[in-house]
Amino acid sequence: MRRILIIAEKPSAAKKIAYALSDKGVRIVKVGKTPIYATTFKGQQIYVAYAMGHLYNIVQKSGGWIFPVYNIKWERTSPKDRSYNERIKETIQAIAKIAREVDEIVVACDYDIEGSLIGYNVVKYACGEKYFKKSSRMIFSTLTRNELRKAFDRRLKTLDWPVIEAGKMRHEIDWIFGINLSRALTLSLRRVGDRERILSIGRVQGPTLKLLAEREIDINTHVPLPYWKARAIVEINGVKYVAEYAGGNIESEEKALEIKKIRDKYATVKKIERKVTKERPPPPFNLGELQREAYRIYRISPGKTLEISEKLYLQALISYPRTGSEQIPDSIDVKGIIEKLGEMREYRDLVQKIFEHSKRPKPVKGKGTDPAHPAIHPTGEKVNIKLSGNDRKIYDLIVRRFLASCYRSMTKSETRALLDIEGHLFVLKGVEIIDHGWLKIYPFKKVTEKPFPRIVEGMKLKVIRVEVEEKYTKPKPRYNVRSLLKKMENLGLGTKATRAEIIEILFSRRYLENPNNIEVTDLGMKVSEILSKICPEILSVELTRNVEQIIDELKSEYLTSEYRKVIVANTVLGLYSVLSKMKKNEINIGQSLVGKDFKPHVEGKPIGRCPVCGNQLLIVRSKKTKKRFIVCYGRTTGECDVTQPLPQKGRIRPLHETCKYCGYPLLACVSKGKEWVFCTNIRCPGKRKNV
Amino acid sequence: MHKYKVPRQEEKCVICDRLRESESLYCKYHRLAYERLKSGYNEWRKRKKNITWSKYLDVVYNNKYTGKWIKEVIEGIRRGKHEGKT
Repeated sequence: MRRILIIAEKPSAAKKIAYALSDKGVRIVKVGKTPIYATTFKGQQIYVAYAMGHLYNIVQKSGGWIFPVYNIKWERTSPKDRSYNERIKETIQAIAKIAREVDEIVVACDYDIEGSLIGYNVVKYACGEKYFKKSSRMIFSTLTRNELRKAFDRRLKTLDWPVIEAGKMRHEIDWIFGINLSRALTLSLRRVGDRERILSIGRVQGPTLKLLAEREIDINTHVPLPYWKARAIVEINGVKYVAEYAGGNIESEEKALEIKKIRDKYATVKKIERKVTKERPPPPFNLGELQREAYRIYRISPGKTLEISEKLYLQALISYPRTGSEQIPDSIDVKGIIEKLGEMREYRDLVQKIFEHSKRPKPVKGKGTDPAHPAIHPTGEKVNIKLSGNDRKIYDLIVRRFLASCYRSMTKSETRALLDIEGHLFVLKGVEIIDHGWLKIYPFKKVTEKPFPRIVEGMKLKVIRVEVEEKYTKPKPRYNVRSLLKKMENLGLGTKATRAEIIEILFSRRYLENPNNIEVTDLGMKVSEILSKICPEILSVELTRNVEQIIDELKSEYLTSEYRKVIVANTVLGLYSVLSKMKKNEINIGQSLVGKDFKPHVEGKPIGRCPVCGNQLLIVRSKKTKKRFIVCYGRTTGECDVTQPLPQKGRIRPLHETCKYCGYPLLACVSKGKEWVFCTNIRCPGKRKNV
Repeated sequence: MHKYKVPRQEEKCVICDRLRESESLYCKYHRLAYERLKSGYNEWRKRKKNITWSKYLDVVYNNKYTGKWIKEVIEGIRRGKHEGKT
């Protein structure tokens, strides 16, 4: 019997795969403490194991907490990593043990850069490179039984190498940029005595922070300009209507006063225009749009939306959520999915409407494409467990959006009447929805209806009054999480999977505050300002966008390991000069970051004033050698660089006197019952004179 | 060891503690704010013919949409600390 080991990305995906590929039920085999699903499928023995996200990460090969660092290697995830899990070691041992007994290893992680890389690392490091020859790749977008069986039967005969290389490339570039720049900033802080804070900056964090800092500057230097808005209140059949000034905003006080002086009691209807427009239904969601809508409608943060949608995917309720596509390919059985949704009580009426509209419903296609996965859509699988509040909201949003995309357009009529009052033109507008269409299914878009009166051209309307209001231009609005996500997407910053995380990191580093109305903190402004001065290229949108473009282009072509190394080397080449500049300006950067009021704390015994700078001289111990010596407090802020050695034996006591030759404090040292007095300055002229 | 040059009082922006821009009394941000305040006055005069500089400063200072740094520059001007004066 042929034996196959399938590696899934997460435990719940492993379970789904095992049950989908089972002919006679699933057993759980314990290898050590790790459960592995075992089953048989078409005469083959199947074992399904799972990774828990990234089991391997990039680490520094050698050296301490320094920069620059370019020597890297992949290693098992350690407790220092964010993705660490206590069961990682046991899981790797279990996979390695099963791998020795099987004829084939199938990587069934999510079909994207991260999933392919997770699978590759498990095969390479847990099983061994010799297993590459018998490894294959399953590709699927939903965890439904049918699709998993199909994906297993049609699996690729090798691993998806270009995608793996693209994943390695992104991880390597991001790691090298992130670790070096973050260490450079943090070490600048340490240089001036701030040992508490850790700062970070990276390939995507940098341009995003700059974007926000520029907006902050715009808001803080905004000078409001005056303008005037005029409107006429007219009465038609006892009902009051508001007509706006046709010229838009008035930019001159003279003109505004002229309009204000209108005394005419009647307005003449010059022209009436009616326009009927159809609005196509919105396409099914990609991740960015789902995150934006969830935030707009329910104020659910993008990170939370991603977390929930991944959970729904693992429950086989929706398709793979990390997608940029807004299209459902013809190969997906849309009708079947809608029929299954119709079996759920809450969607029965909506599904009925869809089938009344079309026997073969077809979702509209959006612009977004993704070669790996279709737009996010429900699978139609029954919701067996009770979904919690937010989970239910996100699921409902996805279902309604998918159903709405199959329904008919919304039709509305917009009517405009041009009114003449003393030679000044005003516009009376009305909006009426003729057919709600998809709005009935996805009622989250607001279309305000405005009644339009029964009037004809040439008619005289009674003017109640003309109002002129002085207004001021507003600054550009602050970003919120939703608008920032959209901006990042438009600029090509980050990927659909990483944008939300990047924003959260910027908040956690205290560069930003107030997610609903993002403000850049003083620290955020300083980091952005310093990097703009020293290394503007790191903050440039182009750098990060180019890397993303290269990754996207190459993952679908043939990207070899050698080519990847060349691209990584070329990309990080520019970093070298940036880091040199940062090293050279370490003190200046640190000083600018900590601010004028910062006073670093130094553990030490004061012995008197430094004759060079006037700061306190302290007796401290080296952490490394444990030896005692004298250091000037001014050294922590870069003002002074005085250090002096001390005898290592004996008890030292300050005498509160200064040396008459050099001004350094005098100390007394007591050892073996003897006491002697000495000047703390090793180059004291008094010593040369043998005084 | 690199020596950090602590900015002397006369090297600091007259409004905040940032370093002055060359040939200016202001730091980078307050200089930008001052320039925008000046160009804003020209635009205001196009829109409101008879507005004086001091009236303009009053109206802008009390406006809720005015930027924080603009307000700080106006406060500086009122205290006599602005470009052209020392």
